[in-house]
Amino acid sequence: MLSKSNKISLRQVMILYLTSIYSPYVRTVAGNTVKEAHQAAWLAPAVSCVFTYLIIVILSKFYVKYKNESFMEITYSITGGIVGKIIVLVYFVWVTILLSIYVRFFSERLVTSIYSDTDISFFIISMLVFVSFVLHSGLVPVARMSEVIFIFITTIFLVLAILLIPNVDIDKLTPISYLDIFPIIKAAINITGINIYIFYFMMISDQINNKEHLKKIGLKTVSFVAVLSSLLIILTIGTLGPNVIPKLPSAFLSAVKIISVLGILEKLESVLISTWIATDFIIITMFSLIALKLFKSLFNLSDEKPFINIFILLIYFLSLYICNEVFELQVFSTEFVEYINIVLGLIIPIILFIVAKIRKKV
Amino acid sequence: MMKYIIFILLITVISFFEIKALVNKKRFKELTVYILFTVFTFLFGMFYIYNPYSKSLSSIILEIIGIKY
Repeated sequence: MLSKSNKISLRQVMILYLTSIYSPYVRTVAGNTVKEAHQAAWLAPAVSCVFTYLIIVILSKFYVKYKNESFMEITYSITGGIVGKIIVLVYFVWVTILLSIYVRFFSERLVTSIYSDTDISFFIISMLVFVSFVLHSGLVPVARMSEVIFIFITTIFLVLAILLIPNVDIDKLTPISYLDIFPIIKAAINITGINIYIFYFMMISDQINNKEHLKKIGLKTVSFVAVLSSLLIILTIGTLGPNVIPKLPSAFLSAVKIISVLGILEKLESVLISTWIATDFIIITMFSLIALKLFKSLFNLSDEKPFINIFILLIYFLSLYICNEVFELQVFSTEFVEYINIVLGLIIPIILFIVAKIRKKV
Repeated sequence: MMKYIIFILLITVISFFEIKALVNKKRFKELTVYILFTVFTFLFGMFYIYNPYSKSLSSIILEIIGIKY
């Protein structure tokens, strides 16, 4: 019944969210948090969880009054037409930039890890053609694909975690004192830049059912993220040590390379890379879909589907133009993107909520 | 030169079918937005193909906010 109305359940949105954040988490979280909080970095996800839950609570307050509206319609209602359009334009530009960053990271990862002699454009085109094909089918097939991918990546991650446990040295995770409080908060802000993707995903709230359970399901999701990301950081620090991690381009991948079971089961990094490809597909598809919905709302269009192919073509060029080398993109991602994500995913919604309260809209 | 030809052919083929469908459905508002968006994509694509090694978007932004790497 939901698929006929092109709507998905809140549980499916959360699975889409969990699948999407897997790739940036595995790629960057261990390195970025250890840079700030050293051996205490594994406590940062719990703090970040608080910020993420705050945005979930704010969103749930909006949905009490605006049951079937999208975030764009809610914004127009709260701020008025012109300011609302400017806000939606900013989100459209930002989600498009985020999308091109993920397309570029996906292709760079394949070129730097396995296919070093292949032109980067080949992977960008392959991914974008597939994404374009899926986008024409709508949100429901993407949600169903993510359910399958989610089971796959969770199983792979847990198997890798079990295999990494014998390499973990508890001494590398301690000592922790009150002096670590501020570094942990700084590291948590870093993670929040990824966690608040939940807000972007909830922008298409007109296509999501059961939003009245957002607080309950959101808390479960945030707790799940906190536990698994703490585990990821514990395994990485415990295996490699806090001094080595900041120097590595992808710390968890380096930790996985160490896995060796009786000298037979080795080189499991290829399994990890396969999970990256699957989750990159979901995050690229979702950001494309969200960007197109924002574009549709911006120009009051009746349908966004005619724009899919031309938008994907724009993303191809933007993903090439976004950086000249992967190092530049990594710096851009940690020094700029994460902070803008916090502004647009956490601060702007809080401001909107305050304005809505003053104007008695919620 | 080959890149220019492929790009122009691609954008023509994509936009031809979409414009035709929009005209048939008499959705002229969508058609106007579509043409403007296509022109923007065309100009951006041409700009990139003309000089693929120009300063990237991330380096421009990092320069503006004063981050050296």
